[in-house]
Amino acid sequence: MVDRPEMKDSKTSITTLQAVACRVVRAVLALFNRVANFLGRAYSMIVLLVLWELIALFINNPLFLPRLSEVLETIWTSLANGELVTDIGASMFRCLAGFTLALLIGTPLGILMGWSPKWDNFWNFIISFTNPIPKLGLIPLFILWLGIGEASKIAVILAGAMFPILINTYNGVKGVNKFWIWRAATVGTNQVEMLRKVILNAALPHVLTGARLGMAVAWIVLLGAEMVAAQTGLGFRILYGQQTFDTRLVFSGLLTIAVIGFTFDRLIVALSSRMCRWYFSREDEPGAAQ
Amino acid sequence: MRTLEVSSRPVIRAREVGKAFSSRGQTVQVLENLNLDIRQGEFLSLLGPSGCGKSTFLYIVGGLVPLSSGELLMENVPIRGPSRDRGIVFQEPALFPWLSVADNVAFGLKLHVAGRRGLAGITASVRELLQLVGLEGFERFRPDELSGGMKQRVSIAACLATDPKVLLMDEPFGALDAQTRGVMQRELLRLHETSGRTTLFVTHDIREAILLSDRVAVMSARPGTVKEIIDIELPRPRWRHRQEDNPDFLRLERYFNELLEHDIREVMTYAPE
Repeated sequence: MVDRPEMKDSKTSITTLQAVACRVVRAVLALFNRVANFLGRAYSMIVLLVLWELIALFINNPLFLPRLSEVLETIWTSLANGELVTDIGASMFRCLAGFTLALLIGTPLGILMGWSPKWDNFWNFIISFTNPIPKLGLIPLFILWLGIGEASKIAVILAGAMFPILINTYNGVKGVNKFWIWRAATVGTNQVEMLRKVILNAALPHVLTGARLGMAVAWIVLLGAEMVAAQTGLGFRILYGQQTFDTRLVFSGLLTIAVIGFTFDRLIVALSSRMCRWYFSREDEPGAAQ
Repeated sequence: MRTLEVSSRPVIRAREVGKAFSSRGQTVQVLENLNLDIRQGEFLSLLGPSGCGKSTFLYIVGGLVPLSSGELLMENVPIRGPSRDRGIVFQEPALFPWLSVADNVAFGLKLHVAGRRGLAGITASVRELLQLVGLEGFERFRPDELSGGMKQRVSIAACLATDPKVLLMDEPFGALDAQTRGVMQRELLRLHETSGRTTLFVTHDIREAILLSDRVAVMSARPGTVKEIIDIELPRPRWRHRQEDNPDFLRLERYFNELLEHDIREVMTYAPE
């Protein structure tokens, strides 16, 4: 580097105050940018919600379609009196418990099946046979087996969320670049290191894609389970609304699920692009991809 | 600089090596009766038209593909699988995209040496290796932030990290543009001429083979076999000066061209089923 005196001069002339101001302006601009970016993608949602309010106002039949503002009011009051908090808590617990189990079983099984022909041969037909069974159809069976409590609900979610995770992981492992495996093999990697250090990392984007799909299935199955047999939870809340002809209650449950589902989905997306930047940021930089 | 001594003792010895693949009920004989010795300390190129099985032979030497017939020994022991003794640089730099440049180079080291040498030792070796391939300061970069030439330098560094006795290179510069390829060839010459590591180098580029090698084994196609081995007696070290204008170089180039032309015609008219 050439030492340029005029650069040095301009540097020393910047006061601390100016530097701080500079940073603040930059931070505000960055924030503004993010908000604008968010609004650019969220405006379609806003349009939809405004339309809802207007159409409901026009129909003027709260039993058929309550206004968004009424639904929000219901959500607010039931949040305040704790009913909704209990329901959200109950549903989230079941969902996360089942989903976590699905992840803990689906990922290793998918990896082993993708890696070892022995495991593949043993499990492949079983998976193909059980995967198409509608998981909602398992609810009565699981209630018979595990009772009406939490266990049967968690088991149904496990059954629902596991397949997308397992199948995506399996395909991810099958598609691992042969040369990565070969390169690892030539520096003396043993089987365990190969699975842990190469295969798991290489297939991780697919595991996370599976998790995203599995999370969506988990909510679908959970609601079904809660409508069949539950005294708490968002599914119960929706069913109760229908039984008492309280359409606002039905909508408040649906809206809450949509918000929670959206949040989880974005969380997984954010986690994916953070953990697998090498995979998920490729589309942003054409030419960088191999 | 270490003396460049090529002993006549073979490190790797291939006898009557054959390889057959079967696909859709048909058997394709890729290699047949291939005999080749790779001597201690030499740079041996395997030259042949695309599809002659030279990469397959390299994978067999690497222990990644099993042979169908014949015998393949390294230091008198049959090769049964991949080993740290034989490092491979592939045509596509097979770097792990989720690891930084430094972690890619350190991958092989961390597997076994971690306990004995510790992390500090590994960091130091990685810096040394990156310096060797001209990439100091790129430790924290990701593979997709590098150009094709830089990636291939990283894979060479990663391959040297485990200090293999034999270096196997499968058209490592085949995917690079002509200028970068020229620079990389000269750097490989420098690496070889300062370390004297036994190297098997697969290429279809005649000039590349002449420039780098002590001996060039010319392969014919379908089935692939070594049809002639030629000594390249251009004096070493070669990396300091241009070799391509040397009359000996040009003579060799013409000779190889004639040798290969017949085979290339044959491959081009070959219709795969």
